[in-house]
Amino acid sequence: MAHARIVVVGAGVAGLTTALLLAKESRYQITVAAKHMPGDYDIEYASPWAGANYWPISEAGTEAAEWDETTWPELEDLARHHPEAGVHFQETAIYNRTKDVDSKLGRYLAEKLKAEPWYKDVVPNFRQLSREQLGTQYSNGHAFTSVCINTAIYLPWLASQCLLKGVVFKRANLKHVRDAPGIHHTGQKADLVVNCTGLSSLKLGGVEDQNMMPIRGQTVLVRNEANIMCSSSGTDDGEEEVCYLMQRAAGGGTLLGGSYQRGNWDSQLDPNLAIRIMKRAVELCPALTDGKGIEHLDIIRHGVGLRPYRQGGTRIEKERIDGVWTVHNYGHGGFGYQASYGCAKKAVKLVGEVLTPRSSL
Amino acid sequence: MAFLGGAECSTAGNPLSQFTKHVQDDKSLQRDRLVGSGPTVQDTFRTQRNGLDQEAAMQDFLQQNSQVPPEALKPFAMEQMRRDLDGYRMSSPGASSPAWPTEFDPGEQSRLERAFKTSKSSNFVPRGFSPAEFQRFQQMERTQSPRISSPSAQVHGYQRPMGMGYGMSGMGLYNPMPGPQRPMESVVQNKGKDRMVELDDKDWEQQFAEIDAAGKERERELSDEDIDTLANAAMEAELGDMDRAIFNGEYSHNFDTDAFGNFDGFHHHQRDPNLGDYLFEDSNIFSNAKDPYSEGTRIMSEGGNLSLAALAFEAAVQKTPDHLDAWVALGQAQAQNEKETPAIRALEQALTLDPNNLPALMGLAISYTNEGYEPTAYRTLERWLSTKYPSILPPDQVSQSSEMGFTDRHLLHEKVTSHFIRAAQLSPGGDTKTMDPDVQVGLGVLFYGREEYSKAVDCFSAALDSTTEGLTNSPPQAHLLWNRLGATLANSGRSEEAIQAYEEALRLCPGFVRARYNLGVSCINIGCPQEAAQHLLGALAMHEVVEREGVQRVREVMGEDVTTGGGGGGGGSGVGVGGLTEGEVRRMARMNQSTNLLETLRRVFTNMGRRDLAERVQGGGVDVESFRGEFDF
Repeated sequence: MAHARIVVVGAGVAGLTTALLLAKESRYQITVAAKHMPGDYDIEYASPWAGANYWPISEAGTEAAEWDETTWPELEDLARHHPEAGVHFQETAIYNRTKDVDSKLGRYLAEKLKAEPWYKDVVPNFRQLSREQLGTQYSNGHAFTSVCINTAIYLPWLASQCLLKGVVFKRANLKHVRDAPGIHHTGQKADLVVNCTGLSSLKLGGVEDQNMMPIRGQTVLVRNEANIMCSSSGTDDGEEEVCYLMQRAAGGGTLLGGSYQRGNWDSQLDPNLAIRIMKRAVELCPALTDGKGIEHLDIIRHGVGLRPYRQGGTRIEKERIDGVWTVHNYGHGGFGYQASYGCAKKAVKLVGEVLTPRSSL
Repeated sequence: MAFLGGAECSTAGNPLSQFTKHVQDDKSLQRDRLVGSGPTVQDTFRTQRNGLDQEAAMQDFLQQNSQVPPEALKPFAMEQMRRDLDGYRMSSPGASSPAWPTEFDPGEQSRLERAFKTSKSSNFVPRGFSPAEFQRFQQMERTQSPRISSPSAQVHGYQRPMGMGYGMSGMGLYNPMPGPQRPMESVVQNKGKDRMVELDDKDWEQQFAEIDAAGKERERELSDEDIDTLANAAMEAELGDMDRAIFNGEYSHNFDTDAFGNFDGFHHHQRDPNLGDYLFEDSNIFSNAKDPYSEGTRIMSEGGNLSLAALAFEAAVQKTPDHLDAWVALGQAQAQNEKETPAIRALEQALTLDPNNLPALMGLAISYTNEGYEPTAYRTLERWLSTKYPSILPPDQVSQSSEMGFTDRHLLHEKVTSHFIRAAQLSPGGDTKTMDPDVQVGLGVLFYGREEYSKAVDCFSAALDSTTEGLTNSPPQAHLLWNRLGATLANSGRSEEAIQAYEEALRLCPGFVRARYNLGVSCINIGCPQEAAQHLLGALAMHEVVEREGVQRVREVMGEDVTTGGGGGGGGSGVGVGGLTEGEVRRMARMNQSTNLLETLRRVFTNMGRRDLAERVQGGGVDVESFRGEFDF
C-alpha cells in the first residue's frame, strides 16, 4: 500500500492514539503538530483534565458503542500487562435514580442508566447492585471491573510509544488546515492531515465546526483514597451537577467530580461548585474521609476541563479542504478515552482509503 | 463496602470558611494556567473577571493568533474577535466602546487605540489582472493580517476574473447552524465590553507589548476585593442575558447571499476547491487556426487525441473568451484526458458565462466528486436539477451554502437525493428506459458519493440502457457511462467487472485517457503492478502524442506547407509548425499535467520496490519514452 507523509494535528488522547495506530504502519511518516502537548495544563487542552475511566454512555447498536467496545480490550490489556501506561483495574459502582432518566443529563448518559447496558457482556464481573446496596435513594445500579487511567502518566506514555515508532512531535499553532501539510518534519508537504483538535475544531480554519460546544467539568483531585469508582446518575443540586469519583493509577490521586455544564466556557474555578462536589463525594463514599467531613479531604488541586462535545456525534470522516485531504477525528465529549482506540481505528481506515488510488468517475 | 453508610456530611463551620481553607490556599488551577505562558494579556484580562462570565470565557478560549477568515465566523465572530489581539475592527454600528477600560483608566482607551492602526486593504481585483498577476497578489494576501470583514471586499484565496470583484464569492456564505448554546451577538452587543482591535502583522510585537503594558498597569490598580465586587455585579447581569441568549439561540446576522451570488450563479464556500483560473499552454498549434472550436469538436467526435482537442478548445477560448460551448468542451475534454484540475477550472469558467449550463454543472459535479469535494458536488447537482426541473425544485429554493453547516453533508445529500428521485419518478410508470439518463447519472453520482455502490451501479446501468435506446440527443456518451460504471464497480471491490467496463469504454473510444488510467488503478487493486504501469504509461504517452499528431493536423487544417526537423519528436533545429519553433511544438501540453496519472504511476513503482523508477516520475512530467524498454505500452 501507500507510503505517505501524515500530519496529525492535536496531541490529546485522540491525536496521540491515532498517531500511535498510524505509526504501526511503517510506511507512514508521521508528525504530531499541536499547540499543547502532554505535560501542559491549559483550558484548551481537555485531555489531562479527564478522569479518566471506562464508563460507556454510548447507546446500544450505535457506531459509538462499537468504538467503546473496541476500546475495552486495549485498555484491559494495558491494565493487565503494561503498568507503565498508568492504567489500572478498579471496581466501579454506578448508581441510578429513576427521576434522572428523563433529565437532559440523563438522556446524555442514557446507556449508563439502564439496568442492562450493552456493555454488561463486555466488561468483567458485571452484576446488578442489590436493594440493600442501593439504599433508598437509588432505583437501580450495577457494578463491574473497569479501568481508571492516570492521565498524567497515560498521555506521556502514548507520546513515548509514538516516539519509539519514529513519530516526530512539533509544537505548532495552526490557524487553518491548509497550513498543516507544510509543517511535516521531512520538509516535504504531507499527503494528508488528521484533525484531532477537539474543541478547537470550532475555530480551526477550514473546519470551523459550529456543532462543537464545551461541556464544562469541574473536579477536585485529592490525596485521599477510595479504591473504588462510583457515580450517581444525578444530584439534587441542579441538573448540570453530577457526582462521581475515581482513583487514578500509580498514585495519581482520587478525582472527585463534577459537573456537565453545557455551553459553559468558563475556565475559572467555581468555589461553590467545588464545595458541593466535595460534599457529594464524601456522602457517596464516606470511606474517603473515614466518615468525616470535607475538611478532611487533602486537596492536590482543583480542575476545570471543557469536554469537547459535538452535537450530532463524534466526527470521523474524510474531507478535502482547500486541496488538503483531511481525516477528522474530533468531538469526543466526555468519552474520549473510553472510545479512543475505536475512533482511532476508524480514522486509520479512512486514511488508508484516502491514500489508495481512486478510480475516476 | 457500604457506599451509603448514612454518614452525614460534616457541616462543621461556615461552608465559606471551609472554602477559604481549601481553595484559597490552592491556587494551583490558576497557577498552572499562568505558569509557562508567562504574563500575557489574556491573563491580565482574566484576573479582572471572576466567575461565570460566559462570553468572555469563550473569547478567552477562542482568543488566539488565529487567522480565521472573518466572513466564516461572522455571527459569533464578535465574541471571538473581541479580546482577540488579531481581531478586526468592527465597523458595524452598535459596537460600543468597552466600558471597563475607561472606568479604570481613562487614558487606557486612547493608549490602546494608539497601539493599533487600522490596516485597510482593498481586495478588489479588477478584471485586468492576469492569472499570473493575481497569483502574485494572492501570495501577498496570504501573508497579510486579516482585514475588515465588509461584504464588499473579501478575498479568500479565491481567484476569478469577475467584474464585481473577487470578494463576493470568496465571502463565506456561512452561518452557523442555529442551536448551539453559545452567547450570541445580542449578548455581545449588550455588553459592549470589549473592542475589536486590529493588528498589523509587522508591528504586532510592538503593539502587543503596548497592550500588555496597559494590561499590567490596570492589574496593579485593582485589588482583589475590587475585582470580586465588580465580578459579582457583572455576573448577575450576565447570567440573565446569557440565559436568554443561549436558549434562544438567536443570530442577528444573516448573510444576504443573493447580494454576492448571482453573477456567477454559484455560491462558493471556502470548502469549495477554489482552483482558480484556467492555465493555458504556452504554445498552441491552433493559435492561428481560423475555427479551432470546430477542429476540437471534430477531434472529439472522431475519438482522436484528447490533448489535441483540448489545445484546439484552448485556442478557441483565447480567441473568444465568452465562447461558452468552447469552455464546456474544454472542460469535458480535459476531464476525459484525466486532467481534473484544468477540467474544473474550465467548467467553472463556463458557469461564469452561464450559471445554468447543464453539461457544465453535471461535469463539475463529477469532477468535484473525484476530487473529494462531495458537499460541493451535491450542491452542484442540486443546481443542475433545479435548472432542468424547476417544477421539482424552483431556483429560489436551492440551498444556500449558508443554510447548512458544511460538517453536515449528510443532510445536504439526503435533500438533493430526494429531489433527484422525484425527477426520476417523472418518467411514466417509473420506466427506466424512458428516464432521463442525466437524472440517472446524477443519482449515480449521489450514491457513489455516499459509497452506496450497488445503487450507483444500477443508476449507471440504467443510463447506459437508455442511451443505447437512443434517447439522448447529445453526442454518443456511451464510453463515458461505461467508464462511470467501471469506476463504481472498482470502488466497490469488483475489480474484474470494472476492468471489463473500462475495456468496453476504450473499445468505443481508444483515446479515452481516463478509462486507461482507471484500468491502471484496477490492475493495482488486483495485484498486477506491472500491467498497471503499462496502462498508466500508455495513458501518459497519449498526452505526449500531441507533437506528432499536431503536425499532421495542422497540415490538414491550415494547408500550410510546413517542414519540421524530422516529425514529431525528432531532434535538430528544424522549423516548427504553425509559426512555432520545433522546440515549442514539442513542449506543448506541458502546462497541465495529470496529477492523478503521475502520482499513481509513482506509487506503483514505489510499491513494486522500484525507487529508481519512482524518482523518474516527477510532478512536472515524465519522460514516457524512456520507459519503453522495460514496459510494453
